[in-house]
Amino acid sequence: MKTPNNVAIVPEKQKTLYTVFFFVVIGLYVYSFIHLDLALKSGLDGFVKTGGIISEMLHMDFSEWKEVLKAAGESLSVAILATIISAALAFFVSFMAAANVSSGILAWFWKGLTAGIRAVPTLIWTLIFVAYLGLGAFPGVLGLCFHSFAYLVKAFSQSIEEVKEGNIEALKATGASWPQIMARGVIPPIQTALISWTALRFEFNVSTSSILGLVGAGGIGQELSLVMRTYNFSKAGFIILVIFLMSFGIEMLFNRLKLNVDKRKLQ
Amino acid sequence: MQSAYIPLKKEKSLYTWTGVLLVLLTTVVTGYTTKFDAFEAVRVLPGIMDFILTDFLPPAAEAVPNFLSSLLDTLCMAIISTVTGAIISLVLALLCAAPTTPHPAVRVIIRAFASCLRNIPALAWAMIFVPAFGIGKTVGVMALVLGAMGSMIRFFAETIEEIDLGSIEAVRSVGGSYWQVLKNGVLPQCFPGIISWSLYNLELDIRASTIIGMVGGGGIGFFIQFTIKLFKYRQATMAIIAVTLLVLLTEALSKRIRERIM
Repeated sequence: MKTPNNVAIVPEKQKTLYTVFFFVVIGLYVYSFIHLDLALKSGLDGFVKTGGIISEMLHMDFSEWKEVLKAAGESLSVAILATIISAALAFFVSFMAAANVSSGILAWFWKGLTAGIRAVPTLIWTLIFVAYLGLGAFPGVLGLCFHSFAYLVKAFSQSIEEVKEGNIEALKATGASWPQIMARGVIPPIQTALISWTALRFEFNVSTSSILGLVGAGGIGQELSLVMRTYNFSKAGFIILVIFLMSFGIEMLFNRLKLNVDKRKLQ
Repeated sequence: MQSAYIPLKKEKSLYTWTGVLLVLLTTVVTGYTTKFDAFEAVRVLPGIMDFILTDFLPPAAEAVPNFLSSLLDTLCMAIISTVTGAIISLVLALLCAAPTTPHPAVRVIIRAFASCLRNIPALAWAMIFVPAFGIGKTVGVMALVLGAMGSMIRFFAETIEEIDLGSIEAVRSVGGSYWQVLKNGVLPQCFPGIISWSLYNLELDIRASTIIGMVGGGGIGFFIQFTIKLFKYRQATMAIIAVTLLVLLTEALSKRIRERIM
């Protein structure tokens, strides 16, 4: 604010902060380009080829629609089953992991364990399970379950920790037992949050289950990697369409539910 | 009063039981289609634990020099894809958000485009790019950019739609042009939101690049898959730990930046 009739919309201090931030970002950006030395010179050629591949994909080959739909059903089943199992397990464990209703060491143990599981991406868990159990949907369900479970424990226990201390205090004062406090004081206020987190995770599980096949866990991803390996783009086009429709349908469905949770709080 | 309350409760419990029944039914049906055997799962669990504890641990610290450059590649890939994605997404989001769109038709087209990008997994994009660009970092960056755009267009547009419309009105009422409305009315308000979502995306991209590498996108993911396939599990563990540390570092950093900017 230099003169009274030149009112800054963004405060002066904020402005310098922004400037510094943007210069740092530009610096990192340029450095990354130099470091990676991307093949952009031959890139134009690549784009032309990509265009060719995509136009080939658009000439979809529906001939094996039965197999593709069956594989899609398998992927969807994997996602649903993994979500149900992990939500059910996480529901019980989250009470042990929430600091305000559990004992310190127990909460610390579950938080540490689930943080460790979450650090490893779903696809890598599945890769590990495939290495141990062999190919098929079974290691897919387990891999997806593992990561979903850890994710939901964190989400659920965070919701439990947001419950007002007064609720718990009030029930304690009436002499309620621990399960009674949970059932009457803790669960009712967080019911919608629990459902929202589960729905959000289900959305994620559907899109993930469709690519689990790339590491050998069956489903539609397996079909996709098979046809891509043989450069059969017109068949791949149809498979990608099915994957798109599946995840698009779920997104549409859940947009109506208006999930009131902030994803940025948790990963 | 009592009599009005009872039927409501009955109705509610009917809903609950139908819900429970439906969930159980779905569990059985999906369990059947995936041939999932719960007893088998419980039975193999100790074996898996043993496999993880003895084969993957302790992590091989001596592997660090092997993947350090891949880790830097991953970070650079995430930075390029986030910044590129954010710039393109900002332009598209401005064209798509309700207060700033030039025409409702543009809005519909961009939304459909973003939905296509978002609902086709980045891994599938990478598979499409591999035959055209060949295995390498270029593929990884391109797939990450498209994946990032899918979600960022949506989040940015939502951020723009949440702004206080009064400031747009104010700039317009003094005769501001479209650009002036954008520059003085819209952008200052949504910058914090845009930066926050971009930082979130940076974290997601670092995580995603571990799996992009599996289909030929370069970076640390290639190293992880390569070592698992060669049964060098302990090296893979070390690489996973390194990625986790990188993610935690970005998380902490972006939290600080968010607090300063917001």
